[in-house]
Amino acid sequence: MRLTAPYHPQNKHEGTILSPLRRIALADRWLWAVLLGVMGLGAYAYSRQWIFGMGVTGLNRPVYWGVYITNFVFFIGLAHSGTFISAILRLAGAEWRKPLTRAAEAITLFSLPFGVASILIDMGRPDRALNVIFYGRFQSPLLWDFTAVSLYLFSSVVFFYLSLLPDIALCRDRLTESPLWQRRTYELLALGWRGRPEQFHRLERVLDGMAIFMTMLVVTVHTVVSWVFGMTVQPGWHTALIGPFFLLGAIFSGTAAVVIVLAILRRVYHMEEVLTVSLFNSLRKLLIVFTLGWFYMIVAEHLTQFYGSLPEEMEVFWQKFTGEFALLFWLMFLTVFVLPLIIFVFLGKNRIGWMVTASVLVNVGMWLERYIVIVPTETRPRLISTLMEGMGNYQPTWVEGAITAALFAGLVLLYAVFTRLFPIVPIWETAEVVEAEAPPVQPRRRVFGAGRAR
Amino acid sequence: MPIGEWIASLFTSAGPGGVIVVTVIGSAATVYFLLTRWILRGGEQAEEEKYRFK
Repeated sequence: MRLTAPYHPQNKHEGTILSPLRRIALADRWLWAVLLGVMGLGAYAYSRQWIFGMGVTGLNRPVYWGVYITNFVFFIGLAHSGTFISAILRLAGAEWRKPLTRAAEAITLFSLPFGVASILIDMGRPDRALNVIFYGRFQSPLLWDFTAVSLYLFSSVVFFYLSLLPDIALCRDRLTESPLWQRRTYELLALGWRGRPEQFHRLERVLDGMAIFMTMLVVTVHTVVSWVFGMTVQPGWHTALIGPFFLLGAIFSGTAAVVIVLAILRRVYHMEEVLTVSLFNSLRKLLIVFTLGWFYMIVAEHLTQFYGSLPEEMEVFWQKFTGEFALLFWLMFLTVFVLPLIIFVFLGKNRIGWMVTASVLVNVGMWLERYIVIVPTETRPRLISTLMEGMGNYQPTWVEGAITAALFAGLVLLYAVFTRLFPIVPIWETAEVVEAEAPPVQPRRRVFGAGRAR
Repeated sequence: MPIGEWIASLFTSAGPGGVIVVTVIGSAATVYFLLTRWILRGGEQAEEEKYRFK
């Protein structure tokens, strides 16, 4: 069968977007080497845990979930950035999101495996993970979690891959000077994409449909993650508010992570004209809303606890406000709410440096928030009277620190390598010119009245 | 068995919870495979027709 030449929508920024893919700089190799070194340290720490057992960590009875589960919730939270930016804003018809969709989706894709890994590391006996499938019970929130996170990971991969497909084909046809293995990879992953108008049309339809499904998943996944805590009757966890609180926190930290990543990409790959300041300003508005939403949630949760004044709840409550965890709690409050709000409102407009500062603070604070949610409750459980001398303490060890560093290094490494192999800004979605004889598709389907707004 | 008892048994019986996981992920895999194939075949027939009559 004779085929027409593959068609690619014209984008004036194509050269800029593809330039990071044309060569791997020495600085990249050094960065990758350092990150691999950190991962090696984490692997060594994990080998100690594997050989000597969980005793090498600070985990003990009854503090079974510490830094590892904090990491799990944090990574799953980060993973919500891509779905929020790509799926939810897509449904809302927010056109400004287009240049940053892939950068956000990549955070989703690369965070999720480290979230799953955190669970396996915490298990101590990861070989027993498959017991969830063989012997799992329907009433177990762990089974719901396993199902929801697996489906979310799988769907995120597909959503990401489909939106990447036209650009992989473009790499196949444009980057002909790349090494053979790279060209073969593009050929293989492009699945014979030709850029026919009907292909673009169908792709848009599927992505729009999947955006609805992904939006549902994003709510489900983090709610189910919160239910792993909320379905127990432990003080501080057993509240209906925990689902929405986790979800808001996830989208908050994920969006802040997108700001950090975009600023780095903009600087390192000289994408000032593609990732414009106005994008950061749009994200800034969203982040102001999320900051206030987070404040509302934390007030609602703690005010309810305070007025209920159940003895076991208050034990945990005062631990956070004035007790052992007060320093971390107020540091969290400062870094998630006070400082970011001041920066976003008064300093962040048109200033990317300030936006990044605030976003880093938010993410540090959100990690602390997860720690504050998990550990104080475990050190002061409902059956506090059963604690014996020396129980109810938790001090993370270097093993947990090294493994945590390795997980974050792994995330950065995957991201850094990806940006050198695939376009981090969607070329076809941001294309401004379509050829008259072969129009691939309308720039965007009109969704929920977006067309009327123009 | 009354439907209430059947539903309750889902929540009180041991395993096999894996049925849920496998069903959900398996169904998703099938749907995604079919959708991807459908996208890639878009306009294929028209292109074939176009060159058949040339």
